[in-house]
Amino acid sequence: MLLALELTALASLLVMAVYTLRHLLFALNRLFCPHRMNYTDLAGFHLPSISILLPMHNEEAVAQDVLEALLESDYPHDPGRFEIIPINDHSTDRTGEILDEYAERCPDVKPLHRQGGKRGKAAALKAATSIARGEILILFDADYVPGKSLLKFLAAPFADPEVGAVMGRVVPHNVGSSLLTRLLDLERAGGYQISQQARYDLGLIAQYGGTTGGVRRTALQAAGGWNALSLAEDTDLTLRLAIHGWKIAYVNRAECYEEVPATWEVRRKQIERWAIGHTDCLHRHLGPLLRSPHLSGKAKLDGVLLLCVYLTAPLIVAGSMACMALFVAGRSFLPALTAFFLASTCYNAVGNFASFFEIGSSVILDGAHRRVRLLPLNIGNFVFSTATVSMALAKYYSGRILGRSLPWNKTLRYRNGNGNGNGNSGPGPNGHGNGRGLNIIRAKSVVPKST
Amino acid sequence: MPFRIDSLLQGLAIIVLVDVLLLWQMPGILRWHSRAVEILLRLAKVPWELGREMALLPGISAVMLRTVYLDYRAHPLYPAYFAGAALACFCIGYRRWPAPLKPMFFLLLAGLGITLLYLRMVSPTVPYTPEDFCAIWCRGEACLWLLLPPIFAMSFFILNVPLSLKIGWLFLLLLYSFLWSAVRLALALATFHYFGSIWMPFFYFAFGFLTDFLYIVAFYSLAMDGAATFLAKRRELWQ
Repeated sequence: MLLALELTALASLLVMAVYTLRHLLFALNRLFCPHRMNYTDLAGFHLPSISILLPMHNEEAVAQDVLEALLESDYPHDPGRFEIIPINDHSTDRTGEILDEYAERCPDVKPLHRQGGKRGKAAALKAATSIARGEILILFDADYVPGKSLLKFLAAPFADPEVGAVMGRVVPHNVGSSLLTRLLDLERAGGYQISQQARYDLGLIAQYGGTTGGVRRTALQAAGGWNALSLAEDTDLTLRLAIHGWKIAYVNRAECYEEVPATWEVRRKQIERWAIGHTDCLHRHLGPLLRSPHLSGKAKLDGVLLLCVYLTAPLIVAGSMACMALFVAGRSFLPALTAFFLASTCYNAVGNFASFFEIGSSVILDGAHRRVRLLPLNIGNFVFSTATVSMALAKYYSGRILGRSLPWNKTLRYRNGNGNGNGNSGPGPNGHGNGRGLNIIRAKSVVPKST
Repeated sequence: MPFRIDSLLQGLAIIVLVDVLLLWQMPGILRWHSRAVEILLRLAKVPWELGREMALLPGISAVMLRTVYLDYRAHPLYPAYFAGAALACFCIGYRRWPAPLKPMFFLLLAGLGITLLYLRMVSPTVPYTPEDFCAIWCRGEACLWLLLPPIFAMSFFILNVPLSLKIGWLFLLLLYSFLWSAVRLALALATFHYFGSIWMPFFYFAFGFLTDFLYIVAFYSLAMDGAATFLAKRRELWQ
């Protein structure tokens, strides 16, 4: 029994130490090593035909903002080169009407109404891809508000024929809404400014996040198209593209503004979906990843660490319990315990999956230093994420054993301050979105935040 | 540039220097630490005496304090009362508490539960005497004090700010670390004296390592904020 506890504690220590080292290397690489070609100089010079896909399910509060922002884009609105396909996926609110109003006014907007067939983002994207005409598919979630030049930045890397997908940077615009949004802002900064950039610079697998990004139609087809069965279609596609030898480019300059969860309950559902979808990808893609002839050894190693990232949460719980039991049993096991706790907390204790060093450095790079004072409070975010992910994975594995499928939970929107708890977004006073998000983005886009 | 690689080398040199200094002065620091704990125990009206001299690090030993735990053999129901009260608080307050607090409370309950099981099924006393606990605590803290310069050097010394600012923050962090460690150890010994040893895992883990990490991050965040303000004033911040 004691041996099993000791082995659990040591295994936890070893795994967390590996993740800590990985994050430290990412941060040092981001800060001190030369960056890889980021294609931003090509922005505006390479203008392929693009189709912008906007999956929407009951998005009447935010639909207007994202459409207005895209129509304001400086990407050439030539017919045949630019189209917006908002996908009304089984909405029961006014989303469909809003889309039709826009379609009447703007020929670039070509809504797709889905009232039958499988629900969910991946299924909606699959349907939209079949009618899209663009060479490149650019994707945004409905609550995102793209800046004026974003499309050019996202389209530019596709000048490189090896690039299969491009990922931009996601920046929360509702940072001041609650403590949670402030903490998530820190976490996002570390995740994108440091971790994604370093992964791209090091030639590892930069993650395509399913929004604020684009995918080459031919690459998508070569990789097998959208997987409608996945709860994390973005991770699924990332892995399939990488396995098939396509490059995924990350463009830090391509910033897009999103609405992050403002309450812990909404955050819980979001993390749960991510954890289950991501771990499902682990089971589906681990073997092909390791066998892929297109990936280097270091890319495979990082791919494995990326796929296993949510498994660290139950490992931390198991390690903590084992250490407590060992302590009470008279084996204070001090050096290992010290190292385990320092390693696991240093790695994870200030967010979902970003080390405190990454977050602190990203805040300095972004030039928005005051928010770094909130860093210690992210311990709450860490504890919450660890518990939520552990429970989600217990649900996932019990579902696998019992043959249950897990439903898609839509993230609640707050654009109008609603919080009806049913996963739907409520309308503004005029029955549409109130344009608040769009106005915030317009104000922010005056001064670029980072290089 | 806000970050400089040569500052990292500078940081590495300072790690070596500060750690050598800490190792050299460790017996004195531990004596001072012990003195601070004695004063705090006196304030808390906890009887103590000087105990055995125990080895903490290779070549470094210190005299531990001896106190008395509440004897659960005279109060056999106390551990169950404490665990039960914590469980009741958890159940009653579960819906009202902020979400991040719930897992933390669960950890407290897990610690109390594991210790309760041990006290009921294995032995009526925990396997550590007060001197043992002091030694475990001081050994952990001494290791941490030696780790603080590397942690801070890797994360903060790479910034392109004056060395005096970096050393100033490191000095403050170390000072705080010595003081806060003494306060927590005294609080732990006082709790064991009045409420018994069932609270030991909580003090060792939550009030030990977790709290250590929290103040390190807090100092790091304040130092980064100060450094960024300095950089902004010099107009060297990336925009």
